[in-house]
Amino acid sequence: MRGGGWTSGSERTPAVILATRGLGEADLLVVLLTPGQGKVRAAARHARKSRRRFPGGLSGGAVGEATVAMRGGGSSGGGLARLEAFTPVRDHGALGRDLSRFAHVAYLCELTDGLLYEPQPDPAVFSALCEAIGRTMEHGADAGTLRRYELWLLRALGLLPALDGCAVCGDELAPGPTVLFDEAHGGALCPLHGRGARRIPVEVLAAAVALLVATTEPEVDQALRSVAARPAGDRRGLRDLVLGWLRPHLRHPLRSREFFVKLGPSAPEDG
Amino acid sequence: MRLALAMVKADPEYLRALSEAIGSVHAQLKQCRVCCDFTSDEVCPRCADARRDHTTICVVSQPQDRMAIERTGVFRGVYHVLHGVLDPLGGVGPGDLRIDALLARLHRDPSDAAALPGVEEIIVATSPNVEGDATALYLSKLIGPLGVRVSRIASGVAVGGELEYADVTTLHRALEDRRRL
Repeated sequence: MRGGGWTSGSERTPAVILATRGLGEADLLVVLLTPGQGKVRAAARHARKSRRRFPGGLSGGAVGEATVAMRGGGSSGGGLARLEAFTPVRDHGALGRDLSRFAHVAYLCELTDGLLYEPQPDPAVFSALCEAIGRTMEHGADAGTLRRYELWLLRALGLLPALDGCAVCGDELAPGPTVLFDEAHGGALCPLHGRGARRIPVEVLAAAVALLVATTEPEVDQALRSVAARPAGDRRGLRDLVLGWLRPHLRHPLRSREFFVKLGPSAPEDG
Repeated sequence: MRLALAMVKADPEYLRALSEAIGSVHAQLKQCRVCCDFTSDEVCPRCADARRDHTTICVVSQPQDRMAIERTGVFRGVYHVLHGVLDPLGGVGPGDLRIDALLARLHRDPSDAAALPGVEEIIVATSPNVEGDATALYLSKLIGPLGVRVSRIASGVAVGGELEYADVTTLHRALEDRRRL
């Protein structure tokens, strides 16, 4: 890959397909996440016909290598790029054979698309998304993986409320079964600054912190197991808490979340 | 612009007929009350054709797919058009597809002697991509317990293609869906 912004020439880059939309008879509008250019919107000509340039198809959640040509002005120009080819690096066809994986990966992609602006390159966000998709593909749909990615993305974008100290003064939080919390004041609060704030179970907050701080594979496994072992009420509490943090930053409700409900009895575990 | 210039040169009678035909599309085209394909009658010609095999239903996502299969001349059963596939990013869930109409076709009243023979097989012919496969899986979970055989069209290396140039997803599928010779 060439350093800096793309120019009018074609560049090959690792990429994840976040979304596709029909564009005319046989073309597709593809939203990609790349490590070096962030979110890129590109037109893929004849994508619905060409198996040579787009082997395996262009489905949301596909991880692979893309060949992209930016319009004049590079990524900062805001124009539509041209996706010339996309080759998946792993078989994402398994998504179609498991409705839960299918729904979870779609959610991971739509959440990323909804929170990121273009261009906002961040190789760490790209890696985190690849990790979450890879884990879902390998280990199956797991609500803990969604929570970890949501929390991670909020932190990476500077949107995560304070969880382990008072958001106002930085003091330690008062010991006890609950924590004073107010998003409008930055998150967790000490008794002095938390007058009138709501209380949330300390266990729920601790689960969120454990998901965030885990970095190595065994730590992540342990944190996910620990969340899965918590009572259903705690898991739903964590889900609702994190979704509440995400909602103000999304331009519209996520369709993939509505899809969870639409699946009815086949709906994936979500909290 | 090219189209406008061609119209200026065209026979006025032809243009009048064309504009009337375009104007009547919405009024005349409706969905077949059996298979949900587009038709100008209550029941489409394929569902009304008693010579076709009504025990086998080929499920497609859109009318164009039905036309593509019909062009092969191989399939003599009947069709069902879902008008879409499951698509979480597009907000399309099972309730947005014509699945209820498909299920209604599977419930035959045994006391009705004039009724068509019961359905024995559903062939899911949605496109072999993630959304098409997920839709096929959903249908198989829904219909399988009803005692109707559910099958999926084959997919894998394209006829005339070369293995060397096939992608990982296609090869993976080709190996998984191999058949005994």
